Amino acid sequence: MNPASVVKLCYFLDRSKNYGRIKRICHDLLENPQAPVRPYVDTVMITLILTTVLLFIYDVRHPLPDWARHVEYIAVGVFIIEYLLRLWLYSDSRRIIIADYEKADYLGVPFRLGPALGAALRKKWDYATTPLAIIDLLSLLPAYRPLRILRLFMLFRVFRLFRYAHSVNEFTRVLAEKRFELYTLGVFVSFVVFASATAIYLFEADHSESRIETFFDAVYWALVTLSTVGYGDIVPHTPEGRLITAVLIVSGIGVLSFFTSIIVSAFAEKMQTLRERRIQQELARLDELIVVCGYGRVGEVIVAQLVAQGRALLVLDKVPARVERARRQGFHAVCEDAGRSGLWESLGIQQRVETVLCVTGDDVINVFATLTARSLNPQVKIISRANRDETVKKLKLAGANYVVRPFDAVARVAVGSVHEPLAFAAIHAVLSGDSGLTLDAIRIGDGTYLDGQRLARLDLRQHKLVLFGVIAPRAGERHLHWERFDLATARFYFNPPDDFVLHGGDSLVLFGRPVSLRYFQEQLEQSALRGR
Amino acid sequence: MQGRIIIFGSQRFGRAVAEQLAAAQSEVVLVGQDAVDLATARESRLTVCQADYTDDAELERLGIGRDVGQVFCLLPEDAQNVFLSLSVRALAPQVHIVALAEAPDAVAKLKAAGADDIIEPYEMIGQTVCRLVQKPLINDLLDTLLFGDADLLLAEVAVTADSALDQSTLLELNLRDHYNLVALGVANHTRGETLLFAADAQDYRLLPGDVLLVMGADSAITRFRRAVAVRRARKD
Repeated sequence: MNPASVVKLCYFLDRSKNYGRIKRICHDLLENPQAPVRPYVDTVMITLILTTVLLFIYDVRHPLPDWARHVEYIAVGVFIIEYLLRLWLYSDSRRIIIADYEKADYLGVPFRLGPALGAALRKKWDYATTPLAIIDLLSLLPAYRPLRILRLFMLFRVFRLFRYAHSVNEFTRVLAEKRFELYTLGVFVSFVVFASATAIYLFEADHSESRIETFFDAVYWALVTLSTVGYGDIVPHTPEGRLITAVLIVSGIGVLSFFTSIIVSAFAEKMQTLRERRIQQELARLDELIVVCGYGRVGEVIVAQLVAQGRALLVLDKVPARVERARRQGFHAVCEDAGRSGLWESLGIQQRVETVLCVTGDDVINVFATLTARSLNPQVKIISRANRDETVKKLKLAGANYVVRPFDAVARVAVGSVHEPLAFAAIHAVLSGDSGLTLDAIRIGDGTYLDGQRLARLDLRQHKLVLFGVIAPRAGERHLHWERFDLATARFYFNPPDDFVLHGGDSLVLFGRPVSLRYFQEQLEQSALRGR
Repeated sequence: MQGRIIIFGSQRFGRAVAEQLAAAQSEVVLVGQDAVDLATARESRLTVCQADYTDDAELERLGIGRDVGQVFCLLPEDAQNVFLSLSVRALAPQVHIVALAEAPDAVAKLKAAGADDIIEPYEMIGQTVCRLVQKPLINDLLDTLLFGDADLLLAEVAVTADSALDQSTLLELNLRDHYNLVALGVANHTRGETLLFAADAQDYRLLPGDVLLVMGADSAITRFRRAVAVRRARKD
């Protein structure tokens, strides 16, 4: 094997687009948990595994038809290919060899193929020694029928399913975390079993009626008794034997409780993490997420309204009772401190989150959460609540787009109700949607029938709408209309006259019933598709 | 509104309302029981009074039943506001009561206790935030125009028997072209609280007792008021 040609091959493969594409496709098929084709591949594999296992089980007492054997051969063929593919996907051998070659080149020493190949192969061996790979390999063995003991390896065929079952993975991870306790327990159990097996053997083995003939029988009996199963196939006949049995039964109960408590405590600790992970998985499928920090009274009202409009949301609160209440009402909720950057990253603030609402009753939390969110994503929209007037400026500095002041708003309405009660009641009814009327800004798209037209073209009477005014971009003097107000990013023309020209990008501020507004908006948008 | 204004509740809501009303030159008294809160209020140059709202005698001493025209029940608990509304209504059947409701089911109870207007602060904040999420342009607009310093106002124009509005329809009035006003609708206390929407009421003939809700510049509203104050000779 010429080292130069091997290195040349590695470079060729590295540069080859097709090779990379094939490897990526295979990766998507087998290893990538987010690829859309994965569920189908997984289903096919699971079906194949289950079919071969079921056929094998059926084969124990009934003869199998010929086609069953063919199924087994095909399945084993597929499994072999899968094993080799996974082995190939595990690491990029060419990169290891290239890296080694470039290191040798840089240092000026001659390149030796042996160690490089050795490193690449060792990586593959790392994969081959992982539990799942071993299971895969061993599950191939039952195909060789003549050896009866290999039937045992059919179990490994079932274990292959571990790869596809996340809950099984969680269970094994839980056990792995508690391995110290389980190891201690294991040692203790072995000791008890050995001691009692020895004792019972000494006293019972030579008894005429006893079923205990070998030491293995004694161990079997000890385990059956210790675990409180008690088949009854081996029972003590001598009084000494019965005494040993009594002692073993009592200690058996203790051992069992010890084991159960270890598992239960491990799971209880895991439950929280499992739930959060499940929430994150569900969130990963959402888009345009709204995160609501604070599930107090204000938070509840906001969540109820946003959900009624079909928005996807996540509730964040530090108080567990509030998080529980949110969950009970069917919302995604996480009990975490909103100031933790790691939390925001795992929620996907850069990709999935569209709006963040910091509406707790504590200004300090609101400011901190606002700052944290803004530092991670300069584009996300942040709306925060200021319980004190001084906090408004701090929230703006922290990066909030809008600040809401509850006490201020209430006071304004209260005052309004004193001086002009009907007017304020009307505005209040409109804003709250109680009266069935609403105020909305409907954007005029490019190419719709109003684009470039004068305002007279808009037939408000027919649409049952009242025009408040037009919001237009700031740039450019649209009309010498004196009722012009500058908003933050646009200009508002109040009650423009009939010869006001509308353009695409303007918004009409209309007042009317939601159904009229929606109908008007649909008509407007469709006119663009129809081509006026 | 005629008469003095009394605000019960010396915590944040009460103080905020009192400050805004005082800024609008109304005669306001803030009543509470907590000395510290009252001291804070006194620093903002508010007239304060320490009284127990559960004692009818003290309520009478404050002037309820005599010269008080408006009472605000802004106590921290819904139960307290209900109690106060009942007490005030019993002493003064004509006074206008505005009460704060924290829980949604307190609204019905406060109405039964005699409150005229209910303010649900958390509902309002929730809606403001939702509006900010869904329709930020509208919020921007409302903040600048209605609640800011801009010239646009929402005004009530009452229809009386001798005004030019009597027997007119919105179509005839054509507020848009003649006065540069936008008509929102017509309200009438006696007919109920619901607002008759302008787009539905183009042919509705205005009657005495109706109130026309219009929006526009301050100057335009004043001009409109003056124009319709007296029946125009042309109409007859």
